Amino acid sequence: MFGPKIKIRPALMEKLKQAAEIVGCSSVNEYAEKVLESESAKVLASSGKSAISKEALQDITHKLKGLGYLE
Amino acid sequence: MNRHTSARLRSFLFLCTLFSALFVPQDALAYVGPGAGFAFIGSGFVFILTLLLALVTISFWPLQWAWRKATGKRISKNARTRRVVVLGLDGLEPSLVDKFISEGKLPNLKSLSENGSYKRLGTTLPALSPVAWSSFQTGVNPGAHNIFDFLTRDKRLYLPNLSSTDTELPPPFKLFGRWKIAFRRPKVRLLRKSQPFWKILGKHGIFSNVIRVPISYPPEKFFGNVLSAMCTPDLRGTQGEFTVYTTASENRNVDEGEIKPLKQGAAGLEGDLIGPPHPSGEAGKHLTARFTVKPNSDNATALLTLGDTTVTLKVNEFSEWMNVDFRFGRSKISGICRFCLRELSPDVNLYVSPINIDPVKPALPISSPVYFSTYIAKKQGSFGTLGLMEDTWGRNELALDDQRFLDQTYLTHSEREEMFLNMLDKTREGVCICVFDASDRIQHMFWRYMDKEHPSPLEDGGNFERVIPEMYEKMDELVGNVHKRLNDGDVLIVMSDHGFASFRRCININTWLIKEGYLVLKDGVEPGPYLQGVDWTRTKAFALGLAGIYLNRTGREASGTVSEQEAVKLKAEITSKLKSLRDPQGDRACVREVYDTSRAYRGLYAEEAPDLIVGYEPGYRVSWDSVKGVIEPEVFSDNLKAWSGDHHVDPECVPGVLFINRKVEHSSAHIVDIAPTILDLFSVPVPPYMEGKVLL
Repeated sequence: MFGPKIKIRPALMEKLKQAAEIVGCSSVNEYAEKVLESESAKVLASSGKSAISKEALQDITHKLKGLGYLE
Repeated sequence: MNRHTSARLRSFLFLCTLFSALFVPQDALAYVGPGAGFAFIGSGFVFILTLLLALVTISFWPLQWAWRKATGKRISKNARTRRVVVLGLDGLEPSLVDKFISEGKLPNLKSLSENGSYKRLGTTLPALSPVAWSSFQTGVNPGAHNIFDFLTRDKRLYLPNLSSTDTELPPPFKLFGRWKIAFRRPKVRLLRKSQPFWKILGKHGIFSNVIRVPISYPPEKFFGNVLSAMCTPDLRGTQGEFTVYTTASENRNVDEGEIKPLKQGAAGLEGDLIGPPHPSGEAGKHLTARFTVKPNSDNATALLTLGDTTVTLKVNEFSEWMNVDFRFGRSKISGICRFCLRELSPDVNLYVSPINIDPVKPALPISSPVYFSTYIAKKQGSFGTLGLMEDTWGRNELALDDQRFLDQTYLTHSEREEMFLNMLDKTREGVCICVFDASDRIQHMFWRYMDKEHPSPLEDGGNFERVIPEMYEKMDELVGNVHKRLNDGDVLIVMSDHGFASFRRCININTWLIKEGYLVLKDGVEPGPYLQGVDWTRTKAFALGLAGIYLNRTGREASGTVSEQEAVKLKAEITSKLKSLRDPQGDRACVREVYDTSRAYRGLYAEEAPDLIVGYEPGYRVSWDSVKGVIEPEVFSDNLKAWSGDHHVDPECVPGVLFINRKVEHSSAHIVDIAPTILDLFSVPVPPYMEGKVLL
């Protein structure tokens, strides 16, 4: 309800709806998120590799603990 | 003290309190929870909320009923059934089903095949449960539902991550100055995309009960009930972290990992259960709950006290679920766990299961509606809520032996059977689905008893060769129990998501990539887990997770080196070399096929997939270390773990099974066919994006 919002022209919204339905997204939101995420990831990737913090490594080790296929 | 003085003293104390509350900077901590935080949702608040929601739902029911009547949202007159029951038996292997049917051990499955249909069920690429059950739910290939493995990778950090959920923890909310509120409620997102068929059925007024179908955490709202399964975390935020408490502190490294000390206290041997991370956010600090163990003189039992409850533990028997509250100020987080006293002499060794989210007072949403898990627990008693309930890690690390692992697996199975049969009785029309995991976990851990060539050590004296055949018989009994509850016209689908094969030899794909010059380490740096020490500016390909190989692509990976044009040639080169790779032990071929995912997948998420997926020959799998990006000295090694069976081989070698109590005219069936088939049975239009065919 109080999350970030983006204004989209009604005509573009209609296109997004159609595209989301064709590719089988559960909602327009899912489709819009995916498209925005892909585009921003490309831009961020070109900005270079981020440094891995000790916390990031600990966090992923913690989250994956107990996953039988890995242990 | 006269009245006047007393009033002045009260005023003075009030002003002091007000002053310190307003002007002395301090942290107002209110969050309690694991990793991403459980917050106050785990307190009594959620219980009251649950009751309120239940009341609101009940009071709105007549209105909902009238609305559905008015809008025509109910089962169509053209529907070919009023009820569909899906019984998922994870990992049931068709060659063993055939063998045991021919030996007369599976009468119920035999009857289903004779009076209905029995087929091999094509599985997904790769043949992994999260991938296959996601295709079952959505009727699409992985390129359209975004689950390609248990793990995905961070393109900027080259680190693995869980593929099915993403947990975001907002930073602590600051008021001003040093004042802050550490209340941080995590935002858990389901990364499986597209939509499950039960959501589409719900839009047409058809109700579904969905129990423990993998990749349903966090639960999605729809017209029906869902109880989450695979990848639901424990209370610490892990995928299931067991603990062994021991008095043998001088012999074992008790400060590390999952081994903790039992120390002599006033009331007996004392230990601290490790709960969610401490709300202060201090690294490594957790909320704890103390328990005591008092060994009895019979040397076979001990008294365990946890909170207000005392129970008698018997050596090598699991306790019932015990409630544990982790307190912080006036808040508490509730969990449940089982104890198993492994040894009393010479040292006391106590196994404690991962601490599950309490289904009665869930600290995180594990069902939709939120009170569904509470309802089940009130109906049949507490039950395990962790995604992967059977502690395969604990068995691999010898915290459990084979018999205890089996006991734990069947305790979970019994809980689920009761839950499923209860919900089946409640589902008068619509869909009732439940997935059982015992078939998968038992084959993973006991395959070595069937495979005489397997290098993993066997335990003596347990007659464990019987475990897998007996498991198939138990599953057949379950099919019989379900069949008895069917009405005329009901459709019963019994299925597995993939089959099984032996896992004798490990292949470290990253070590192979180094030897072939595709993966390059930094000069003079010791490689670490998760590909630490890799020189990304000189690396062309790497492997993470079970499924695939990623190219280090420019414009995609942060330090990409492979252009779009080079990628095509590189994929062909790696494919050709891998297909000719031979195991020096026995000079055997170990890779059956290598799949180019740009051709294998279609859909919005296809670009998230690994570039290549290796289809191993049965007997081989990616090595334990390679999955986590650890470089080993040799490409090949023996698999010496109890986890001795697997299905991460070429999908063509491990189809699942499909039994339906109606005739299927098609010659072949695939897991993506199930969703459109069920929609069509209820006369609900099959969305054009679904890829499967209608089988009935």
